[in-house]
Amino acid sequence: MKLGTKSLNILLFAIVGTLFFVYQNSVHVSTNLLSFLPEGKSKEAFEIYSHFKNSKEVLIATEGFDKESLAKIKILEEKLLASELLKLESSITPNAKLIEYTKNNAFYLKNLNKDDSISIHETLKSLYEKMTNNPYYTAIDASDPLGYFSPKEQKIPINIRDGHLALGDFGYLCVLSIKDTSNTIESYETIYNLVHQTLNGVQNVRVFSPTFYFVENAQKIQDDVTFLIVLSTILLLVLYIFIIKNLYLLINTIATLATSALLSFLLIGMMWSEVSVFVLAFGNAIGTLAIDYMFHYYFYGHYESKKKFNTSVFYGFLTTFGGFLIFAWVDFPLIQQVCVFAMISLVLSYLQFVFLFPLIGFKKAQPYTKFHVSIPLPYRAIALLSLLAIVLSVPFLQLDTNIKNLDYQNVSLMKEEKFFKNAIKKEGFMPLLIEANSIDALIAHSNTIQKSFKNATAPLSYFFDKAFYEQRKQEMDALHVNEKKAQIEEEATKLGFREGFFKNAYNEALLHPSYQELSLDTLREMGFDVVLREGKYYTYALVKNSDRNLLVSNFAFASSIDAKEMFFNALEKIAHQLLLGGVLAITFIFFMLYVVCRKTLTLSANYVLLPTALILLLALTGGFTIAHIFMLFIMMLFGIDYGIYMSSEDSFKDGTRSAIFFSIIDTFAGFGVLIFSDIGALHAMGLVSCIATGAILILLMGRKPQ
Amino acid sequence: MKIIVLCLLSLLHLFANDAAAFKETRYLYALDKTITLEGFITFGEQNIIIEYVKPESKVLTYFEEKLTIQDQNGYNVIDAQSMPSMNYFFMIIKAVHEENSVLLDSFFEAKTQGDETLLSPKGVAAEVLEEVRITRQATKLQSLHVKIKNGDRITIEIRN
Repeated sequence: MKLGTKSLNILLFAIVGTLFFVYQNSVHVSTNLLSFLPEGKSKEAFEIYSHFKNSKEVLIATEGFDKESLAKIKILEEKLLASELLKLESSITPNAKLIEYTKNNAFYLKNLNKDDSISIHETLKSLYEKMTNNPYYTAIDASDPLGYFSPKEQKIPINIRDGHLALGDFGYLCVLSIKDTSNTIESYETIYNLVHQTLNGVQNVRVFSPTFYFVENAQKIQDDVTFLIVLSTILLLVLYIFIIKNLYLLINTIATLATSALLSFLLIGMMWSEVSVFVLAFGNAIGTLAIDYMFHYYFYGHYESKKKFNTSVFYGFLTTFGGFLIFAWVDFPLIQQVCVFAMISLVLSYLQFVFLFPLIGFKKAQPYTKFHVSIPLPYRAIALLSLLAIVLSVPFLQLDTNIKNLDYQNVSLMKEEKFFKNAIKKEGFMPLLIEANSIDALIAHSNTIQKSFKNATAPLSYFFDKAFYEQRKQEMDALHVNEKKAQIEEEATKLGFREGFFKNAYNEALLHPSYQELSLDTLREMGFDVVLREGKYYTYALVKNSDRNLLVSNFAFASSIDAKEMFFNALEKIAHQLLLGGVLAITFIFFMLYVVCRKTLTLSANYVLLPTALILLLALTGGFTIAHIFMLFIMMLFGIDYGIYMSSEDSFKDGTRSAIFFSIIDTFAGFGVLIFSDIGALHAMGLVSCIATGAILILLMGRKPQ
Repeated sequence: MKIIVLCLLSLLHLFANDAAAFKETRYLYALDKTITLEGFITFGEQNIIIEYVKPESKVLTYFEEKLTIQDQNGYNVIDAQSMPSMNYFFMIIKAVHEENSVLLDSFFEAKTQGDETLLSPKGVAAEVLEEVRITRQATKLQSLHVKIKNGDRITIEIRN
């Protein structure tokens, strides 16, 4: 029985470890921050947009307009296309279907100039003179001698140099789209590797694709999280060896923390289809909160002999668990995952440290160091000043809603993106998702956007809808061109045109082509981006950022595709929940303070107030994100644990003081290492925890002035 | 490929001088009329300058797909991309001058018989052009003939 009890913890670890190895692949860990934002229209728009080839183009540019540069881009194109994974998207490449459609509907696709003030004779004479007098060769359109039709203006000009797409003044440009529409990280990785292997050793070439962010960021984030976990684990191990000095207890503690983390991970994986990689980094740090329970029990001597239930530790656990429980209701998957992970992990650890470990029994060893520092601190003054700082700083707080500040800052790729966007003149433009119940309506909406915004580019506005077709037909009928045909022929011959040259001008097929309903497949074959999702059709347009406000208020069928706005909307959606959670958490904190630490209210409140005040003062310097806020609440809950521990009459005893001191050092090693992260969210959490633990450490060193 | 390169080399020889005198004949199908122009062609590092002296004095400068026309009325700039036939015309001349076989290969299939090389347009060029013929005598290029799909013909003959 005794052996069975002693081995129970290791047995649990073995079972959970086996489960983890069996099921770990069924848990999908994602590095994409956007996946963990609340569901909503903006997120759905983002998801649909990701299916457009426009959202995942691969852009390659070779420097210079010499023949070497042209040869280089042609070879690159050839090699990349040979892989069958990419498709060349070039306006120069003729699209047979589009050419045919354009020819058949020429009079409906161009702008109509209804000005009839110039006589037929004068118009034809002008044509004749152009052909004979222009120093350059001039061809004329025999189907429209009176010049009623002119091509639509191209809003974003695509430069062509030497019969090839050109990127501003830089060099030749190659635009490729990914054939695979699965949008998986594996698919993007394949393309990324293919492109970079092909470009390997090629000089003076620049490349960018939005999909590269997924590949590079995923790798960087994974590396970053792995680094943090390793660093934190090493630091904690060293710390535990120094603190615990009992190898058997150390092994059991590590087994307990690992069991809790692995089981939490598996359970999270069962609850959500994707688990954020941030949960792993955060989860590792959560273990440092849980180990506090062990420290207290160990240094109190609970594992040596039977003692009464430790209420301080229980209240400490209850407040932390309660805090996470409050925030787990916030409708934000990333926050929910972190909270649920923390709750499961804390419960499992608490149960084992508090109920299982005393059964196993561990001999208490004297730590290498004892916490003896004691400086007089004016706790009441600190509490008042902190409260004042909180009250004064709250009105000036500004939340940074830019999601990019939470993600990995891929500076080199961002530089390439800016370079290409500037050169193609896409910088300052925002993609817009257009939605309709039919393709005809989608074309109509695209034309509305195109007409409404001077600088917009709505690719589907190339086409016309049924209503426009009917209108143009009437307009053309009003021109009475059929009646003018004979006069055109007569005048043209008189002027010197070949007899019958204009016999096909304004022919019936061009004037009254039958209206062609465009199907989804036809549009795709013509090279246009259209998606059908749950009975609705979607396409995109590009509009200037400055037109955003006008757009949102005027067009219900359009929604902007902007990560910043999506994040802002998500925050707006959960703002009241976050606020309610915050109020509840603060109420809960003060309730616990009142109930548990009534006698030492000022002293205990300091552990919440000082860290909060310092963090809020930091927030005034700017860049205060949701990650800061979330961590602030956690640190408040964390602070109250210390308030509760210090309220105990035993708090000045050696064992307790050491336990409290070691637990704060331990938390610093667990959460504090996040400050070394290159990922905005984790760095923010690390920064907040460093400030909080630093403040708590100072408070722990203090004693009331005599 | 070798044939194209040989052909290009001979063309380069033609345009090797700073300014080569030429005669251009345009047959305009619409008018059933032939127009003759004469002048000089000069290749700069990044541009082509055509100076017509007959029937009227006019200077065309082709630079970055833009055509600048200078005459007694002043300057006028037009986008060559809006006129595919003219754009191809300049593109061919430029490619020949720069020995840019990659550029020519993008738009033509080449066949050489004796002193004559026939460039058959492919892809988007085939929408506008019918054929391009380059003739030479010994190593010297004699002429460039462009047949356009609308029935027009342009011939450039080099005058020694």
